[in-house]
Amino acid sequence: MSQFVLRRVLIAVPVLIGVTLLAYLLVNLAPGDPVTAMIDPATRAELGQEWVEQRREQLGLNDPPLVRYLLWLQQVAQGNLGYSLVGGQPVAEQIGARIGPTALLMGTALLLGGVIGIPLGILSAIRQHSILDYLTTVAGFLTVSTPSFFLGLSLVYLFAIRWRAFPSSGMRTLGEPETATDLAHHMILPVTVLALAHTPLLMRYARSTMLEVLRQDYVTTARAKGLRERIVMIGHAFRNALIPLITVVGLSLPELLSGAVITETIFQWPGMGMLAVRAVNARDYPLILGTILVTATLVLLSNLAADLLYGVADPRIRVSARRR
Amino acid sequence: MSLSGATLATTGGLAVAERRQGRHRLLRSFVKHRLALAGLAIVTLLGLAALLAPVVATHDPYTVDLLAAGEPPSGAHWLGTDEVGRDVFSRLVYGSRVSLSVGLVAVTIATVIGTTLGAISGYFGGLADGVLQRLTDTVMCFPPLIVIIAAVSITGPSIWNVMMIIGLLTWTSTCRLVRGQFLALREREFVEAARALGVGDVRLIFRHVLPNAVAPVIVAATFGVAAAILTEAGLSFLGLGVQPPTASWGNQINLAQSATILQRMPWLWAPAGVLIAVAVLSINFVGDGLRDALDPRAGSDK
Repeated sequence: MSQFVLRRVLIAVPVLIGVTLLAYLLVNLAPGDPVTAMIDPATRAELGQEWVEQRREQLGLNDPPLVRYLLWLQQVAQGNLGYSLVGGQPVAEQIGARIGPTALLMGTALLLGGVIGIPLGILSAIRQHSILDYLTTVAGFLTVSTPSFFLGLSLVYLFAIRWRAFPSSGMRTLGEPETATDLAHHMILPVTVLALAHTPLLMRYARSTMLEVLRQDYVTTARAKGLRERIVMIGHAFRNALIPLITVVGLSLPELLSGAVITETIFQWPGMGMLAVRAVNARDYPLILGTILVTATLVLLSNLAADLLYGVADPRIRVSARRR
Repeated sequence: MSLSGATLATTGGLAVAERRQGRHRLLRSFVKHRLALAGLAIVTLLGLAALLAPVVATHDPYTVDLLAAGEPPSGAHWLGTDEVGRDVFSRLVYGSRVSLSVGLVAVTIATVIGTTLGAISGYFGGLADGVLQRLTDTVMCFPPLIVIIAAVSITGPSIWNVMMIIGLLTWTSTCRLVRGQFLALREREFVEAARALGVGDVRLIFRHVLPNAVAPVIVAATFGVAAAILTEAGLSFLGLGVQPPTASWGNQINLAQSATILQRMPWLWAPAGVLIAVAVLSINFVGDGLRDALDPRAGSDK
């Protein structure tokens, strides 16, 4: 087991380096200098141009790109993601304030998608080729094909403008005490949009892993023993079909984050997605770089966690991973 | 092991289930095929409309007519006019050129990159495989839309940049797919035979192994076109895709970010949204049909 964990962690290290390198390269195609942006603009003005020149030399801005990347990496490792070009706030601080709302939105959507999608997928696998199977497949295609911004705008149009049932934007009603009910009220529309985009994905995977499991020998054995179909399905097949879904949830996070960009923009939800759009519109490169770096690292870490969890849940993975 | 398992399953345990399912099976495959056919018909129709846009469109999509601004749908303007009096229907017809070509070009780029890297990775294995797979892992960590909007803001939002960037960021799944195919195929006798005859690596990859791996790639590419159209629409919706006055399906919906337009002029954004959904759905149905036809093992009926 410890060997398995070590292997996985060691594989993640070059990927983490790759993530920082790609993010750095991408943003450095842009004008401006990320190392200069590491200095608080207010301090910079105070100290004058001469100091800046001196500091540039000191920071090694005339060094080759690789050295500059390493210098930047050193700052990042210490938690310094630089300062926003707009307003001069530390990027890490700004991102930190936005992670919570995004996690709340995505977590709820993921939970909802799982609670609806997984049982539906399992059920349509058990009753393969039934009307239910057919309907869920078509409904899945339909929701996957509808652009989330169109769905979001339609919901705003119907539920917020026409019927005034739900608020169209933000997390809180201004001028009212912060209550959980108020928050939930604000969450309903954006969570619906995100969950609808995500449910079919989980449903499809649940269906195909369940079909896979149903063909396994031990399911045949269980049936041959004369166990009732319901016990075979719930006790033997269902539990094992759930395990690969751990990985799917991890792998679907980037897609979920992409969905959050659109959803947060429509509903003015103060999260990472809206921050990214704002940074891009303002060409705030340190903030863009910070957002990309933080989201990609979060995805990497959750994939690693999913991998390890998978290994805990399914001993076969620990063995076959060695062969790969 | 898997072979004996599958045989057992068909002859033994699943027989009961299969009898029950038999009735629906015909119905289902028939309807499913029909969906793929309907999808193909709609895609063809949209493709034709895009090619023949000047004939299909009722108005010039760029002519501003302030006297006819913001008109609801009527006989003269089937889907009404926008806030400067341009005909919405004609803009959607011309927009299909943009959306469909972004989908096709972006997927072509992604498929070429993904297939090449996947083939190298799966065929050679070892160090090359290790490096390329870590690269794939790395690219897969980035939330596509966040990187795409960042890249577009850096390179400038033009249709070519959008195509390139979507292509450069979405090759990973094809790469994994092709790698898997190559890993399985390179052990087969015909590859060994070709190698024994002295066929070189490049020729072996492209002439012998790749043609056997092409079916799932075509299926993946079809789904990829649908996804790329959605991405372009999302970008244009955020104002970072194809820039006005050029019409695209996504930037038509971008107008609805203004509350007045969202509320008072639904004909400006609703038809574009429906059109995107219909186009993407049709392409997905075609992909599903192709998967059943070309690659039964990977299909939803496995």
